[in-house]
Amino acid sequence: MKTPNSSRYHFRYEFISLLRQRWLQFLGFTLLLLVVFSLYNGKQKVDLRMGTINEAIATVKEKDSLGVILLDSIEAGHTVSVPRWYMPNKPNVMGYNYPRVAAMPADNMAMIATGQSDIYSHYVKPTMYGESFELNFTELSNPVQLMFGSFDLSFVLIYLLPLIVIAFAYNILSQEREQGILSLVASHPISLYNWLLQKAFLRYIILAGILIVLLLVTLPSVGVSLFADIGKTSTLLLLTLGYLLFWFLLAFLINLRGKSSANNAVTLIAWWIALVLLLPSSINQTANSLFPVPSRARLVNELRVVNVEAEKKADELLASFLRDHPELAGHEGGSQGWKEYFASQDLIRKEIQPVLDEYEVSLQRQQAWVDNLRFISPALLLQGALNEVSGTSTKHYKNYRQQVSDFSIAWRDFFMPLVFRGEDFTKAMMADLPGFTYQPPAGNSTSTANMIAIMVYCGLLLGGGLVWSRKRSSRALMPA
Amino acid sequence: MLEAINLSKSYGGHMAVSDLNLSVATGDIYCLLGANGAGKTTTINLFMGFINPTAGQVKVNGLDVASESNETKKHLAYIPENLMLYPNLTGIENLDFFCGLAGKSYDKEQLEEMLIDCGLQPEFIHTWVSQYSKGMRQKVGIALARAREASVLLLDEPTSGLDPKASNEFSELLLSMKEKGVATLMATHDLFRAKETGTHIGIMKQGELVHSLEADAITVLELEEFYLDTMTIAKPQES
Repeated sequence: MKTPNSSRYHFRYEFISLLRQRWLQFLGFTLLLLVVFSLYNGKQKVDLRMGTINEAIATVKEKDSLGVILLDSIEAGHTVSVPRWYMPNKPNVMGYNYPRVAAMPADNMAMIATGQSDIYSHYVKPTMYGESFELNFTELSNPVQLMFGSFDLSFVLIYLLPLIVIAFAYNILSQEREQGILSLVASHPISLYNWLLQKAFLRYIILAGILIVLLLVTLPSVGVSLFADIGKTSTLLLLTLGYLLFWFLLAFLINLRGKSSANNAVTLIAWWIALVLLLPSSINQTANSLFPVPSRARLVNELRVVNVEAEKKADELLASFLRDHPELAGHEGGSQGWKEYFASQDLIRKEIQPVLDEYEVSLQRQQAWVDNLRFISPALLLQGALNEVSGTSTKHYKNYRQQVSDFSIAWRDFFMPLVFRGEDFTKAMMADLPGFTYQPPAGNSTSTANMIAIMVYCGLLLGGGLVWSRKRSSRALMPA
Repeated sequence: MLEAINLSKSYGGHMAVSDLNLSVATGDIYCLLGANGAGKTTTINLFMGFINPTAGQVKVNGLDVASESNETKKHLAYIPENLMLYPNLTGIENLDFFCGLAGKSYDKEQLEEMLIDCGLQPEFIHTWVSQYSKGMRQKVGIALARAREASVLLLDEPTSGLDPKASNEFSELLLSMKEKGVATLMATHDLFRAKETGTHIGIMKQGELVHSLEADAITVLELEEFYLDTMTIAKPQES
């Protein structure tokens, strides 16, 4: 007769039991359904986003071709039959009617988390005059409100996965007690704490295994190149495993109290509500209350007032503008109206800057508040990390906005001297037009920090369980 | 060997077991009789280490249960009133699993033989336990006790609810374990079974062991009369 390791028996028969209870089949099927559906949804959004960007780029290319033909004709001295405001040799026309597309293409993993992508623009066409890009990019409502709205993979992982863990692990001890098996188990020379930990661990391994396999199989099918971005893939898998471990350890601790299955289920659901729903929404509410953002109506109104004032003193403004930009002064050609317009735009930008800054500061404070408080909920930690992995985080959009802002200045500055010097735009200048290529922010500091924080949570729960198990006798787990 | 030395267990102000002194030697079957709430199950639970004594000591083969709970469990086998097994495992799988928990390993043929020896019909060996009767589960419990090679057996009303045939088979299994030198403490309501299988009989009342008898020294009828008298007479008040 051999002396066996009792854990091996425990794992083997627990696995057989779960298989016969159809748990594994249920988990496999449910997770497959959820993962496939959520990735499909994410893919739809990404396709839509990329579709609109590609369409915009195609339109610009088409316009450029037409513009080149027109420039050829004009430069050859032919008369072209297009209205004045379509003549590409006029720099103000070229700067407005022939813009570039400043696009933020979807990341390789963008379908994982919608993040901020459903509230920000993914492409703009900065022009020499007209719209204020600051207005377009300044998100005036709190993005946190829209943070949890899509049925994407992050929704499945953050919201639904804990519920599956709760259903799978809420009664790992109480079930045996209620079925009357625990007394027989406890009559054996084993530690009930270790026995319970083994049960939780086996279930964790099973669920984690199913989930990882599903992700590795389904992600490539929606266009995610696992090996091209092995870092992000690993981060996604580690985050998922860490978050899953957190919920299993919480279920383990709740079971350690030795209460009934019903009590465990209610307690775990209460934790889920607190960590996944209440804390994030409370942070959102406090962000709104503590750092309110001024209204969009006020911004628009102030912009109108500044515009009217600027028009009234157009002559003075032009003189003042030329004093500030002597390199543009002293040229006779060009439209006086356009010169006055650009001069007034410069003033408008300066005038509205404090209002925009006020919005920006409030938003930054809100985001800093949300960022700092994310550590109180593993759900927020995972959301932040997944948004970063997907390239849909607030950081990505702020970075994109800055790049567009820089590009729009470069675009305007390319044409402004031509307008003030009264020079034409030529076909040769096409090659020198500023271009835009989005550069995603480097690093993954948020996901790394959040992953560490989730692991710290797991460590605390495991440590808490060990301390508790040492302080309390196994008898506390037995039926009264 | 089992020993209870000045053993007491109270819940709040209620004494479930009071100053119990008891000894079960190797090869003895000690049957504890008593009304519901007399303290029989509490005594078994104290020996199992499921609960801590308020006072006194419980020993299994000389080991203190309170301080060496896991060590004492290596010597013990336990069959509760209603032995429950994992319903979606078969009888042989349950036996293999619990043997594994006890640190024992047997091959399939050995496990089958043990179950058949304990009276389980061969056609049920590979059937899920959810289809077992109480008697069949008790037989798996006995097979487990044998497989564990325990020197001490604790039984809490094991024949309660069993039909006479199953009860008789159970008694025979107990006697076969007695022959192997197993010390058995059995809480029961079945006076006949206690007389037939027991070597000693104790009668508990309101947490106290009020009588301890040699089973051979009394007939079933005398035991019944004695038991009923004990239950009827009010417990003498301490002065």
